[in-house]
Amino acid sequence: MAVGKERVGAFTTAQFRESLVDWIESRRSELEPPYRSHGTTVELLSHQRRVQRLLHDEGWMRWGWPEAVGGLGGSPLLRAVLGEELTGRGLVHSAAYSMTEVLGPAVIEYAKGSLAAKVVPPMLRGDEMWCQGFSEPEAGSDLGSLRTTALKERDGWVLQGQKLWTSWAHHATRCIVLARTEGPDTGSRGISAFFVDMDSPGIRVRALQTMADVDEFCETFFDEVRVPADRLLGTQGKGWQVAQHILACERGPIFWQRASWLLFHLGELAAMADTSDATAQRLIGLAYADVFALRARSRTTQRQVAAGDLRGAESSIDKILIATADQAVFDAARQVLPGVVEFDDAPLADRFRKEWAYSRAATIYGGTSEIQRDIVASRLLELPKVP
Amino acid sequence: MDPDEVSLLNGAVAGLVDSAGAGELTAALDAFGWLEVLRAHPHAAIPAVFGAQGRSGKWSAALQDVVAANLWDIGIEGAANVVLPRRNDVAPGRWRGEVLEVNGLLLGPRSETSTLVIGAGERRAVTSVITVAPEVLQVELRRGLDPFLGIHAVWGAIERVTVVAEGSVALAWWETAQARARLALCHQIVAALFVMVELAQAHVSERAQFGRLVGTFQAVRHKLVEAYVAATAAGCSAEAAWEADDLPLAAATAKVVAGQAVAVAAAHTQQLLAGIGFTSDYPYHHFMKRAVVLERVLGSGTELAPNLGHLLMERGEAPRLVEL
Repeated sequence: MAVGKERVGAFTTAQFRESLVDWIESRRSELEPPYRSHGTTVELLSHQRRVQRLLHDEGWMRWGWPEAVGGLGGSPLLRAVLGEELTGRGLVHSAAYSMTEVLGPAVIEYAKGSLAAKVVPPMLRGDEMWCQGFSEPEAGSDLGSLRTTALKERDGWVLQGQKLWTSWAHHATRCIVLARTEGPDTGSRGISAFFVDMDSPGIRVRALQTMADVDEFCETFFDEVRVPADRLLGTQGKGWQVAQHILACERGPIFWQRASWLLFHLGELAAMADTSDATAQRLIGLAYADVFALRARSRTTQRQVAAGDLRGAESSIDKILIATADQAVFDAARQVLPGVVEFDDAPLADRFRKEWAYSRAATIYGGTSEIQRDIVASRLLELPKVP
Repeated sequence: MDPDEVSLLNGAVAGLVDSAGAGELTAALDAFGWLEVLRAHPHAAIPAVFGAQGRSGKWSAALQDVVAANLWDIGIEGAANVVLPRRNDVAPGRWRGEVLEVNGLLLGPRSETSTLVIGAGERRAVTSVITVAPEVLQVELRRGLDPFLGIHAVWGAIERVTVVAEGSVALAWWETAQARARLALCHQIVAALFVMVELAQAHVSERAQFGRLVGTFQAVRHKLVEAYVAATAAGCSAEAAWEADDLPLAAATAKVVAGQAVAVAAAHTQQLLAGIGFTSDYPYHHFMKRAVVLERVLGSGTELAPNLGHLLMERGEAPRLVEL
C-alpha cells in the first residue's frame, strides 16, 4: 500500500493517521532499528537516513510541507502525526527525527530565490543533515552576546568565530549560523543568519562526548569562511528574527513527537514493572500525569503553529512542561528498573541509561527552564521590570 | 454546542454566578435551566459552572447535581443526593453480610429531596446502587477546613435496602458520574488557583522591601511562574480530558495534574503573600482552603497517582488519551 504518494487532495489528520498506521504496520520490519541498544551516533543516523528516505519515497515525509519545496502540501499537523506514530513505536530516535523540524521551516521562510527549493528536498529525503550554529562559549542563554562575526566583502561574507553545542555538526551538510554583522555592542539587533555549507574551507568540527556517552554535539570553528551573498537568511541585522522563528518552530511537531517518545518509554516501563510495587505505581502514575499535561497543553500549541501563529512567550510554558515530563519519565525508569540504569550493560540498560542521562539536559537545551520562567514572569505575568 | 454557543453559555453563567447572593446560587442555576444543560451538554455546562464558582468563590448543589445527572440511566427519576466516598479506595457503601455499612459525604446537598443514593462495593469499585431515606442514617453538618461547602458526613448501618442497579450497570453509572465530577472539581480548582496567582501577582507588584518591589526578585518571580504554569497545565488537562477516548482514565489523570498544581500553587502563592495571606481579613485563604478541600474530594492526586500507575502496568502501555 502506497497511499502516501498516491493520495490526491488533502488529508484530514485522522485520515492521514489511519493510512499511515496501516502502512507502518505493513512495513514494520523495514522500519525497526537494526540495534536493540540505544545505538551509536553513526548507527542511529544511518537508520534515520534510511527510514527518512523510505518515508520520502513513499510520500509520507512530504505531507505537510509546501509544494514549492518538494512537499505534497496539507496542514503541518500531518508532520506532527508522522513524528508521533514513528517515535511512539520507538522506530526512530526522537532527537534524530527532530532535525528536519528545527531548521526546515526557517529556511523556507527566510531563504532567498530558489535556495529553499534546492536544499529542502534532499534534507527531507535524509540525504542531507543540517545543524544549528547558535550557542557559543560566551553565549549560551544570553544568545544576544554572541561574538562570531560576519564581515561583508564584495560578493559575500567572511565568517570568523566559534560555535558550541552544535548537535550533529560532524555529520551535517549545512549549518544555520548566527553571526554579528554590526558593531560589537549591538546585542541582539546586530545579528544576521546565514545558511552555510559545512564543506566550506575554514570550517573545523570537533565532536564532544555528552555525559550520556554519545558524540552528539560539537565545537565548530569558523576561520575565514566565505559565504555567498545569497546565503544570508532574511535581511542583514535581522538574524534575531530568524532565531526566534526557529525557537518557536521547535515547540511545534518536535514537542509532539517527543511526548510520544516519552509515552513509548513509559509504556515499556509499565510493561516491565512489578504490578504490586507501590513505588513503581506512584512514580509511573505521576510521570504519566506529567506527560498528559504536556500533551494537553501542546495540542493547542500544535494547532497554533500549524496555522502560522508562532507565539513566543506562551510556548515557554510548553518548554517548562516538556522538561518536567522528560525528567519525570526517565527518573521513574531509573527508580523502578532495579539497578538497571546503574549496574547493567545489556541493550535495554544501555538504552535507558542514555535516555536518562540525555534527560538531564531537558531543562537546559532550547533555552533553560530559568530563562523560560523569566520570559513568563515578564511577558505573561507582566511583573515589574527588573532593575 | 459550537464555540459561539459555548462562549455565550460561559458568559451567561458567569454573570449569573457573580450576581447570585449568598446561598442563592442553587436557585439561580435552577431558574437558568442548569440541570437541562447539564444533561444535554455536560462537556459545556460543567466547565462553565465550575469555572465560575472557582473564580467567584461561591458554591451550590452543582457538584451533587453532576454525580446525580445520569441516575436516570439506572432508573432513578427525580432529584436525589448521591453520597460521595470519603476515601478514594473505599466505596461509600460496603456489605457486611446482609448489612450495608455506609461512610461517606455530601457536599452542598439539595434540600428539596430526601432520597439518598449510595454506591456500594468491595474496595473502590461500585457494584451495586442503593437508595435509602436519610432517617435510617446519621447525617451531620461539618465545618471542616472550608465551612462554606456544606459538608455533611453520612454514616451508619442499614439492614433493609433497595438495590436499584447491580454489576456492570452500577459500575458504568458510577464511572461516568465520578469522571464528570472529577473534571468539575478540576475546573473549579483551576479557576481558584488562578485567583490565588492573581492575588499574589498584585501583591508582589506593589509591595516594596529593601527599596525595591518584591516582584523584581528572581526567587519571587520564579515561584509565581511555577504556580501559574502548574495551574495552566491543570486547566489544559481538564479541558483535554473531555475529548479523551477513555473519560474515566483521563479524568483521573487530570485530577492528578490538578493535585500537583494545588500543591505547588498553594505553597508558592501563600509564601509570596506572606503575612497578609495568612490573615482572615484578606480573601486569599478562602480560595486556598477551597482548592485544598476540593482536591481531596473523589481522590486526591496523591491517592490517584498509584491507581494510574497500576492501570498502566496492568495494560502494559501508556495510552495517548487525546489526539491532535
